Amino acid sequence: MPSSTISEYLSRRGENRSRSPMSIGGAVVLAYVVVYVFLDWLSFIHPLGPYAITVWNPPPGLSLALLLGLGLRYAPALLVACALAEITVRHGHADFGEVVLYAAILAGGYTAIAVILKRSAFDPRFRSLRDLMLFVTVVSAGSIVIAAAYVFAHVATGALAWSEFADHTLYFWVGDVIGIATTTPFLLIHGARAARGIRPRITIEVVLQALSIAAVLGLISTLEPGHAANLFYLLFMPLVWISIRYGFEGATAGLLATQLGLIAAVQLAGYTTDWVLQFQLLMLALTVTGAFLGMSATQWRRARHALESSEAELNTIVATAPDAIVSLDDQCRVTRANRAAEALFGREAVALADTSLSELIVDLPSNLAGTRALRARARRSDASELPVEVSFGSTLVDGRPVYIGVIRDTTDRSRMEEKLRERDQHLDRTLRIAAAAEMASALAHELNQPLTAASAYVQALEMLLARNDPADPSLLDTMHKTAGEVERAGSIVRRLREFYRHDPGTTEQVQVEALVENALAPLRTRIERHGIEVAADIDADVPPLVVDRVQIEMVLHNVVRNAVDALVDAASERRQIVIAASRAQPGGVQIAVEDTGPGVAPAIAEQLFRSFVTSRKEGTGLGLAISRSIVERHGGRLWLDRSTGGARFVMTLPALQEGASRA
Amino acid sequence: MLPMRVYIIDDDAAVRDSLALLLRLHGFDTVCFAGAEAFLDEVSSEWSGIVLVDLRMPGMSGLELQAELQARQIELPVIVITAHGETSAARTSFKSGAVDFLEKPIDRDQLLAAIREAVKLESERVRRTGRTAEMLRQLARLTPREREILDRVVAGKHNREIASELDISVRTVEVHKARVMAKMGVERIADLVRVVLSGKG
Repeated sequence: MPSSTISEYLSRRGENRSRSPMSIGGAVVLAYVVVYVFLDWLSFIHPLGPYAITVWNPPPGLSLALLLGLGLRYAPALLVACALAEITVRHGHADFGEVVLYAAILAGGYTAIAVILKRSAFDPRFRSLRDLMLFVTVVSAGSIVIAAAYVFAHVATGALAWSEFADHTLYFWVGDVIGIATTTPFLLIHGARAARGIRPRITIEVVLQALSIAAVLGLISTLEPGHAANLFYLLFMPLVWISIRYGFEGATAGLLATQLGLIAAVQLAGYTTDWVLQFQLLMLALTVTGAFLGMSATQWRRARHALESSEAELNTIVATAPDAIVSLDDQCRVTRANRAAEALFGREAVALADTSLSELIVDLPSNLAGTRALRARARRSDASELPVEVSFGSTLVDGRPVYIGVIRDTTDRSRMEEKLRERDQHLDRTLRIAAAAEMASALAHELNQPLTAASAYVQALEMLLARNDPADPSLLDTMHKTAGEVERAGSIVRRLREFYRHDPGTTEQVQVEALVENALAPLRTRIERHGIEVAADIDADVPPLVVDRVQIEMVLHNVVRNAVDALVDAASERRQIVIAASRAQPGGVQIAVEDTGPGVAPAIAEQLFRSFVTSRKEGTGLGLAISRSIVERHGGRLWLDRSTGGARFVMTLPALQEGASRA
Repeated sequence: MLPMRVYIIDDDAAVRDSLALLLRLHGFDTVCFAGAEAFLDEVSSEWSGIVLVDLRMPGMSGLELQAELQARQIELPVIVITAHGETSAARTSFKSGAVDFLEKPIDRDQLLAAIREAVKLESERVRRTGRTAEMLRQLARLTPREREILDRVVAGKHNREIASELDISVRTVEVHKARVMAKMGVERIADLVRVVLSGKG
């Protein structure tokens, strides 16, 4: 709700409060009493006997309108008005006690009706059919009780005979009900409208409606009562017209006007009391019919208005939605498309209509049942394609499915994802290169050893040869040693070359025990010097691995060295490394290296495998990233299990399949 | 004179063996150790020779060995070798008094030059150590009175000062001084002072 509307609403509430103060308006009471007495006098037609019971009695309608519209606190005014009317209009001759009795019955009765209506949550604005039903029911029933009480009071005071009770009660009831039915709703509805400053609009149509009522009534006034009653149904036509055109508001006005006209007509025609009663009964039927018809029209109009505004709202939402929205029939043909859809597909909505969705979306599954969302490509009118995300919703209209497709252009997102992927790949490449560089450096270090030895041997050989003593045994020995060192250098170079290969090198069967032994060998000195306890826990049924021995040895060596480093640096009391190997499904072996060190900090663990994140001062031979890539090239996995206190690196590796040849 | 001994410390057996062979052929005596720890277990201040140590070894590194030798006041000259140039490590090892810093694979001429330099330093150190031993032997032959005279002469005091301090005649001081110089094997007072100071050094 926009703020302006909220402030209007609040100010209107304020007005309401000021307009209906808790104090009783003296002017209102005075006006009410005067009008009541006047109306009573005006409607004092065809009184039945000397008891002033008339077939059209609008004053109770005025009383109810006062109580329902302005509040029950005006109830005492009813007593005054009724008493005054009894004295001035009806029983000028009656004694004071009788006047008070009659006035009390009337005022009390109408107040009771108002109380019952208020208690029943009756809305005096007649907001719904329920309000009208409630009003008609309570007023009809209440009036019978009042009529019976009033007539019985007269019987009790001896003014009427028992035999006249039923007739008089009916007469009284008809007069009151029709008086209330034509007056109260009119006053409540139009009084509230007048209070809001709404003036009735007199249009040509309204004039025509009034003229048609007047014409029928004129006709009635000129005819014999019997003929006139036969033509009464003609009054239904203008009232149906009014009710349908102007709803309940129009109906109340039309009915009051008809009633007034009818009274004038029968007075002019000089009908007998019995005929007037007949006409009033017809009028009652007209009133109830007109009121309900008017209420139906009002409700229908209100519903249509609500529907229209919600549809307008929905249309605005759909029109301004950034995503393309299309409605589809059960054949998946477009029935409606919004502006975003026009832009996305590069076609006018007119051109989109009746187009099958499969022409707009490439590779659409033939059966969309159950599909909620999918990624696809949209085909534009210029045959270009866009990456899109399509979501579906469906509903049943007249038993046939109708689909709503929401199509989102994901070009930007796809581009971003593409960029991210590229950056990832770039990063991966960079890391791989960095890993390779570090690997190369480590291997160069290793390569230097045999080269140093070989060069020293060769220099020694030079000197030995210079002695010119071919029998010297150290000559041959040194040559062997030289060759051995050159061989060793060669094997390191081979290893380096294997390292750059993307597939694992030549695989061979490797016993886990041997692998662990070789990986540990270069670390033995440090392990002993720092008092680290290393335990190998290799299950008896672990099959031999089928791996590139050199590479996996390096990986395991690297992981164990990480553990050693962690323990050396840590202040742990217990320095232990457990290398556990067990069978893993399917057809693999799991090797876990667990240490009692401080574990891996969460911040580092995140990127441990992505970059050379390390707490070591000296460079390592192998990063975990490259270790992982080696393991993955073998079809295995390498990960950090952080469930233990220290660090636990776990890898899975392919093993010899059962039943496979061990040859 | 006995051949100079070179202590080769390297974790790589082939490197140890080849360097030992080469140095033996160049006339050095060699002893090999597989690690700094093994060397430290045996070394003592009595030893003479040259230390040729690999910088990077599993366990104790070459730099750590240098530091440990300094802590033990063992003054053998140290030549550091490593697999690839690390300037920061080189700087540290020079600061700690390394004779030279050699990169693997080792250039023979550089190796021999470094060894020669180390030999010179070590010979001097040995000579100095030897002189000290000789001086201590000569000092032992002096009488207490002669020691008193010597201390004061080395402290730069004149005969008259010494005579008044010890309450003897100048003539007696001169007789003692002549006897001290004869026992210490020097002809001039300046030589006497130099020998005593360097011997203490």
